[in-house]
Amino acid sequence: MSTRRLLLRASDLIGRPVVTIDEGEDVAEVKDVVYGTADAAVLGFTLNRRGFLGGPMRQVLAWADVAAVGRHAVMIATAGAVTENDDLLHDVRASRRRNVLGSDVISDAGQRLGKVTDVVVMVEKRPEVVGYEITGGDLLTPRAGTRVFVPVPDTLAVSGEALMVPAAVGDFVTDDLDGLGAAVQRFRQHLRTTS
Amino acid sequence: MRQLSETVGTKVMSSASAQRVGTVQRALTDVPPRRIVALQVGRDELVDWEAIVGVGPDAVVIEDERRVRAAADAREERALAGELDWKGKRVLSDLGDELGTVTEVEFDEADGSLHAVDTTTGPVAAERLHALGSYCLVVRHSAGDGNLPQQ
Amino acid sequence: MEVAVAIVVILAVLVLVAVLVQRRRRAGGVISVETRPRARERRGTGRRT
Repeated sequence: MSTRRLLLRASDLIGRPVVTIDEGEDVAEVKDVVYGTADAAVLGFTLNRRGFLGGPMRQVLAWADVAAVGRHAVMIATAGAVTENDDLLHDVRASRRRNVLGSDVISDAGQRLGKVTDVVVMVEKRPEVVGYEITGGDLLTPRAGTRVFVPVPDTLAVSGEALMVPAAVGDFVTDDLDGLGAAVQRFRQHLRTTS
Repeated sequence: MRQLSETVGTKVMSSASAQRVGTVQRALTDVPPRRIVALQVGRDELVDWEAIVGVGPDAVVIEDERRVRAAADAREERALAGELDWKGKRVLSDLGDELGTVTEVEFDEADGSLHAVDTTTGPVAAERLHALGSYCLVVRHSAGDGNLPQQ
Repeated sequence: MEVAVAIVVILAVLVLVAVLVQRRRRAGGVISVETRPRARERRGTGRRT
């Protein structure tokens, strides 16, 4: 795994082919991106079969079995990486209604900041969720309906219903994807110095 | 060094009988060991590289027309169906980045070893070739890949 | 004549429904899983079907 850093939208990952390095075959495509709330680390992917007629697969792809996440494909060493991984399957079943896309974003001051329209994943050594694309109300931006990126705090509360963020997050909203990486670092520093 | 697209279409002659046994339709390759293992010379007909005497600009010469054979395994059948053709194949690095599509394959006519692959984003040395499948050609990433525009 | 039109309409509706169902089945998302650093180790009840 290389040490390069990639910022990707989850919606770009969804539908991306899962390709074997040893045979050059597309054995599946990404359906859901699954991540844990403890450290925002990506745990793995649920899968669809390839092609329009391909429905959801029983098997999943755990992060430990991913060789690389690139700009155009998720690479695995062999087709054996796609398995019925008990841990990940259990997590997915227990979280059926916890799709973050479309959730309300509510600050701990009780204000609704907007809706989650995408999730930003940073791929470095292992991918983690670093931010949310929010289509905000006028609390976030002067013009309602504008999309902005909100960096994720190191700890956050998220359910299928809402994403809770500290009120301080408003100071770090950035309107472009590249600025998000820097904003994440600033935000983490800020949390460390104030706690 | 010879280009695969120039060899495809040349006639295949038997040195034993001086008869034409067919035309080169496509090359069957193994990646690794990154070499041509056989040529398709007819609708369902193959000639192993070992039976080839010479590859020239005007003809491919084989020992004997009795060396022409049918596909022997599933991979050969897939190759004859065109699933493992090089030209136009998507090129993917082992990091998951697309590096264009294959435009040409250069090989050494002496031993059938692949020398390089030309792609729409530049040449790829044979040492970087990792696997050829129906979906893509997997190549080892190099430092230059990162300069490609992001999609 | 009317029967033929009715059959075509019914077929078109069936195809549309099939396409919509398939889109729904394939639709992806981002699933958040509640993980606590030690909770993952306590589990291990084996294969569930």
